[in-house]
Formats: sequence, structure tokens, C-alpha cells
Amino acid sequence: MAPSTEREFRRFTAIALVHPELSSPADVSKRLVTRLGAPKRITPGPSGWSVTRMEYTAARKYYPEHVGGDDRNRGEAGYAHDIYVATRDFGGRVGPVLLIASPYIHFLEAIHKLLDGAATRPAIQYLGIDMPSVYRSLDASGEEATVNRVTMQVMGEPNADLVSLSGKKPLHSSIHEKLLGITKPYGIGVNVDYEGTDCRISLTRHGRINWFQTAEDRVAHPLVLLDRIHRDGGLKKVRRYPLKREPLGSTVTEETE
Amino acid sequence: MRKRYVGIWSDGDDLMVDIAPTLNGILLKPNGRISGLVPAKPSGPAAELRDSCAIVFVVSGHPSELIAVLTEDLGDEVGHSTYLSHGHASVVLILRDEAKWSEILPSITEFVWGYEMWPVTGGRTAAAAVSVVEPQPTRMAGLGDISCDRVGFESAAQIRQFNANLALLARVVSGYAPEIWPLVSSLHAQVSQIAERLRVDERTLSQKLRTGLMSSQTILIETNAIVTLYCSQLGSGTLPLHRAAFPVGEYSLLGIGGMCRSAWRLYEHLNRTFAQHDHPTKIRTLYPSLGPFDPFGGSAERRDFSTWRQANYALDHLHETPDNEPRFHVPYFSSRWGFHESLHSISLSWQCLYASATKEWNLLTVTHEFLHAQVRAIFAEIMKPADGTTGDHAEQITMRYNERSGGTSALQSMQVAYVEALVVCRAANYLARHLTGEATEVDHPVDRHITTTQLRDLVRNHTGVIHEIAVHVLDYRYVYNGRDEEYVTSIWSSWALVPSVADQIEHYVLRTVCALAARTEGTTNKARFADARLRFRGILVRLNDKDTARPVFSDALAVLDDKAACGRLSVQFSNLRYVVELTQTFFFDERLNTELMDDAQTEEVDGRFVYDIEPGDYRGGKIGSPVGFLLDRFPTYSDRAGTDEAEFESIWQMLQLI
Repeated sequence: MAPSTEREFRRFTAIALVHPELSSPADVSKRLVTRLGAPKRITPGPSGWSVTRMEYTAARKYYPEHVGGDDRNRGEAGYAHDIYVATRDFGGRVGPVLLIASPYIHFLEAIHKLLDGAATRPAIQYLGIDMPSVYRSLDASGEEATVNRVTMQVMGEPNADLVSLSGKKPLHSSIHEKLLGITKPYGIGVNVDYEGTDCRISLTRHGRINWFQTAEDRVAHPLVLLDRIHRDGGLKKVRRYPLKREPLGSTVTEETE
Repeated sequence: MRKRYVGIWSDGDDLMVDIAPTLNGILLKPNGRISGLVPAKPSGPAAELRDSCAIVFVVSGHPSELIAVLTEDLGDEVGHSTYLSHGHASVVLILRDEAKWSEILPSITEFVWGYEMWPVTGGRTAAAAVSVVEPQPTRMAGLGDISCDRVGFESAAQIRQFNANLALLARVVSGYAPEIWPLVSSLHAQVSQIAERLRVDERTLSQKLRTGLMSSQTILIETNAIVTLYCSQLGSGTLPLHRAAFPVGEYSLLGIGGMCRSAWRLYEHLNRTFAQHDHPTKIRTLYPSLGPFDPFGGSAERRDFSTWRQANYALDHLHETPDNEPRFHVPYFSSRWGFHESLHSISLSWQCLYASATKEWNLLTVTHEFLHAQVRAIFAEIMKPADGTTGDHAEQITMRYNERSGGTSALQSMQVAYVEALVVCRAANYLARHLTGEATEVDHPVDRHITTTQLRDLVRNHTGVIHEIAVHVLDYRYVYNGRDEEYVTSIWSSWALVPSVADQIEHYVLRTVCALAARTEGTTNKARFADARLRFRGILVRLNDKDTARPVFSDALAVLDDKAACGRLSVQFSNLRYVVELTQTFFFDERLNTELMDDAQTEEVDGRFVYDIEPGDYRGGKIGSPVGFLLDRFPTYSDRAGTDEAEFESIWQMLQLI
């Protein structure tokens, strides 16, 4: 079954893996056997990155409930799913990374499980984000990246609490100023301009990346953002799986002026 | 039982080696020494001593990083060969041969500070065949000996001893624990100051100054005693291991250096966080220039503490960059003192070495001792006269108290508030004794009008209670992050082992209720007491229902279920709530709390931010908040002082801290 273009152009989730055996799209495709068609190189990618779209078939259970409907429970593996694989060698302490993106988080998890199971030693590590340094870096950023949302963890409470500020320049808002001493950076939403188009991207400190893909070329924007974060020393290798948990705590959203 | 002991003894020029579940017999042999080891993974096979093998003792700056590579990246054989120990050589590998060590060393070089390898054949290793690579000492600023010139004979002997102790400590720290250097530097500065005070001719001094001199000498002796002990503990288990010994049988081969580093990390995190916010300095520099507030919170009959909150004099609202170097305690392990704090030292129970992952001996207990030093410093600052003031300080405070005046500054208001706190503690004590029929003629409640003599009596007799309540409130808010279950379980599990608690059960129940009341709904004393009692009781019921319940839980429950006892507690609480509100409003600092708990490694699970890491997991990243990590671990601890697994979990969690 062919992929539904309008369905696939939606909110993508990505994680970046760090492992010596995972440095090219072929390293992914040789472990995922139900591939449809040939991988397609996406051009142009940002400098240093190689980006490939791949198409796989799998059961519809990977679709979210509101998309899959009753079909989610069918066991057949006849439904097409697109993923993007992007690779780049950051060098230094981070090294080569392989980013995998899919609109379906459960599909992404399934791919990770396959890659993790196939990887020989050492264990797979992931790209984590040093969020305080991202806040500092993007706070002083130019026009290519505009912060439109910051999410912070409220610390002094027995129960989990996240607070988000959105609007124009939330890092410069008076509410953010007030919250500085009693919260810590958790995530960020950024509008990235690249080659005349823009894309809204969100990142968490655990290395989970999301964006809304209105056109295929938007896959370049998160990579541009990662380059920017790397330039300012905000990327690190971590052993914690970025999709292990998704925050469910009460989130208060404030609109800044 | 997966724990093993590695033991060594001399046989001519050779060293005999054994690894077995018990090895006490080795201690009777010439130069016999042993130490416990636990496999790095809580389940699965673990390497045993073979006829021919290589045992490698590895010193690492960040053991959890090293263990993550060994257990996650280098395959099952290496993972199953990895053991944990209490020593500086916190990682011990039992490998099939020397070649295996040569094979894996390049993968872990960045995490290895030093190592010692014993090639073993037939249970025997030749001393000449042992390879030792000692850690490269970190270059530290030279401190130099403190001069003994113009110091009396006895004090000079103490200073000489201190100089030698510090030189030894500096050597160990620079090689094995460079993060502890600020302590070495701080000790040098503190004793230098003492030495300066001792450079006088005693015969020329007044009685008062002679007393001060003796006090300085006493502090010097105590400092020396604790540094000696610390040298012994931190200096244990340094390379070469096959030639050194720690004179404590169970740890005599590898020592407890790794555990000392863990204790330092916990203490240093607390100390650094509190020093960054430096509340005593804020009070000293800002309170004299801030306007006064109503120290009584409205009339004495009906308190209205909301006026305090409106004043915004809470320490987290006041911004002042501290300019003082933090002073340090020496954090060491003691079986004599248990958890204890003094001017220069803070001790953790010796039991923490093997049972810190049990509720009774959990490491968070030390935070209570640490907070005593903070509370003491805050109240000492409050009761000092402001710079430039003249006249009898006690008389002036007494006068303002009797006039119900907040004075002309926040400092003067706080001084009057402190007197009111003393008075309410006195009243609470009287009422308790009156209700139990123990009150006597001399126990009459203090009048609202006091004399300076009464003020001094109040300070002497009731300061301890104020400090204790303040410490409980701050401990509950800062360290336990306002979590009832963890807080009550922790303090009552540790109290369960203290005989005097059972004798004064109502007093300890009252302390707990006061702490819980810091996060209580309701405005009236009665409503707050009822709410705190209910929450406390619910936790005690759960603790008491377990097979492992301690008798003290049912004793406390009996108090909370006894109408007359609750009546007494409620009356005392009505008075002591003043101290709770004073602490909560003025001295609890949300910014400090945020820094203390800050750790990007946490994630949200079931409505709480947690580490989501299990004993035997090695993620390698440095724990950002030791306090937060230990609080996170606490609910998983076993009680009744643990199980076999608890010792593994204790070492595992302590190595995570380094």
C-alpha cells in the first residue's frame, strides 16, 4: 500500500543515535527488512549532513489512535511508513550521529528496538541536549532561530510540574525572569529559518526532537538547529533512551506579551 | 549471597590470594588482609577466582562512567568480571589473564586514574610480578606549614601534628580525590587563624581572654583529632594495595576511600548550595537596612502570619552575592557518634558503609545534622547587634520585646521575633508539664513582660527546641521536597534505633507534626494540627502494618490515637506553630531548594520527576543532585536494616554519586 502523503506530512519525532555501526542510512536499511522501494537521498541537506528518506511497511498499530481507527488492531504488516535518516560526524566527544525521524512514535520505538538488538558492543548511546546552554545560546541568537516557547521544570514541589511560556521572546519575558530561580530548563520551541523557509521545532533535554513537517524540505531545519546547538557546545552523548518516557505532568502555559 | 571477599597474605616472597564468601581466617595469617566485593550486576554469572587469572584493582575519577563502559560496552565476559568495592579501587576485575587486561585497557583509559594488577597462578602471585600504576597527583597550590613561633609548648605540638596530618591528607587528596582539595585549603586557613590567636603570652591576658585562648586550643585539638581520623579513612586503600593495610578487619585490604569520596560529594553538594545562597550573610548585610515588620504576626492572641509573607523579607527575595569562602566540615564515618555534627566535622554512621540503601541507615539522615549548622549560623547572625550600635544588647532587645515593638529595622524585628519564639517554647513546655501534672512552682509560664535575666534563661533553656523545630521544617522542605511519606518514614526509621526516642515519644511526635504543618492547609492552629496529625497517622499505619514494623511505630501511633495525648500535643503545637511559621516564611528559600534538587537526568513518571534508574544500571552521567538522587532511591530501600541485596545497592548508589 502506498504511503498517504497527506498523512505523513505531520508532526515528526526524531532521536539521534551514537554508535560506531550506525553511521549511514545503509546501517539502518540492512536491519529493517520490510523496506519498500529504494531509499531516496534528499537534497539539499544542510552542510555536513546526509539525509535519506526510506519507506517501510509495518502493521498499522504504529499509527496513533486518532489516525489508525479500528485498523490499528489488524496484525498485517501491509501499511507503508516513511522515515528519514540523517547522518553527520560531529567529531570530538560526540562523534558520528544517526538521526531517525518518523511521524509515528511507536514506529520509531520499534526501529530503535531493532537497531539496539542488532548492535554489537559498545551499547548504543544517544544525543542529549544541555538545555541551559541552549537557552543561553538561543537567547543571544540572530534571525535564523527564534525562540517561541520555553518549558521549564518547577523544582520545589513534591509532584512533577512543568510550566511553558510562549509568545514573542519568552526568554526575555518578565514571567521568565520571575521563574528563573525556581525552575530549570526542560525544553524549548524554536522557529528556524533555512533557505527561505521556516519550521517550528521543539526539543527536550533528553534529546527528543519534534517538528511539524509541512513540506519535505523542512527535515533540514532540525538539523540546522542541531548544528547551531553543537557550535555552542550544547550536544552531549548520553546513555538514557530519549523516548523512555514522555512528560505527563500538569503543564501550565502562559502567553507572554 | 553474591558478596565475596578478596583476601591476601604473605608466604615468603609471594602473596597468597583467595576469593570466597568468608575469609576471616586470612586475618590471622601474616600480613593478612581482606575486603568485600559485590558483582557490578545484581544478577547473572559473576567471575570467580580461577587457577590462573589476573585480578585488577582500578582507581577511577568517575567510577560510574568506568563501570558503564565495562558492563555495557565491552561484552558479557568483561561485564561478569566486574566487581565493586568500598575502596579507592572501587572497580575490581577478575579477568582470565593479563592479556585480557591489555585488551580492554585502551577502551577505558580515559576513566582510569591508576591500577594494580595481580597475575595469579595457583592462588599465588609473586610480589615482583604485581604491576602498579599510581594515579598522577593533581597539582595543587602549596599551602606550607603553619608556623609554631610564639605559640605555647602544647599548642605548638598540636600545630606540628596538624601540619603533618595536612601534608598526608594533601598527598592523598591530590592523587585520589582532588575534588576534596577545598577542604584541605579550608582546614589550613582555619587552623592558621587559630594559630594567630594562640600567639600571645597567656600571663598577660584577662580571665575572659584566657578562656577564649583555651577554647581556641580545644578547637585545635578537636580539629587534629578529626583530621587524623580522616587521613586514616580517606587514605585507606591507596596503591600499592599489596603493601598497605587499613586497620579495620573487614576493609583492611581495599579500605573505604571510595565511600569517603561519596560522603564528600553528598556533603559538598549541600554545603556548596547553601554557601551560594549564604543566608547568614544576607541577614547580616541586608536586614539592618530593611524596614521593620510586626514580629508578633498581629496580636499575640490571634496570629496573622500573612503580614509576614507580604513583607517579602524571605531570604529568597533578597539578592546578595556572597563574598565569603564557604567553610567546610570534615565528613567521615563513625560508629561511635553515628550521625553527628560538630564545629569542624560531620559524621555519617559507620553502618552506611554497608546499609545506606536501608531506611534505617539512609544517607539523608545526615542532612538533619548539616541543617543544624545552618540554623545555628542564621540565629547567631540574628542575635548579633548591628554594626555601630552601642549599649547593652540584651537590654535593648528585652525593652523592645516588652514594648511589643518591631524596632526600626528588619533585624531588630527579627530579634524580637526570636524572643517571642523563646517565650512560646517556654509556654509550650510549661503547658505540657501542667497537663501531665509535672509542673512545679518554678515552672510558671513566663510573663509577657520579661527581664534580661529571664531572657538569658530563655536562651539557655529553649534555644535547642527552636533550632530543632527549624531544622525539621527546613529538612522536610529542602531535602525531602515536602514529601510526607519519605520524610516520616526516614526520620522514624532512623529514630527506631535510638532508645531515648521511645522514652520521649510525645516529643518526637510533636517534632514531626510541626514539620508536616509546614505544608498544611487551614489557617487555625486546630485545623493545621488536625491535618498534620491525619497525614502523619496515615503513614504510621502503613509502616506499622508491615511485617518489618518497629515497636516505635506503634508507640507513636498510640500517641496519635490517644485523645488526652493529642490534646497535650495540640496545645503545644499552637505555641510552636509560631516557630514553624517563622522558619517557613523567612528562612525557607525556594531558589536554594531549586538548586538543591536540580538534575537534568530526571524524568517524569507517574506525576513525579524521577531518575528511573535501578541498582545495576550504569548510565555514566554524573548525578547532578545527590540529595535528589537519594530521595528518589529512598522508597525502594529495604527496612529492618536490609537484606543481602541492600549491601550491593548501598555500594552501587554511593558510587553513582562520585
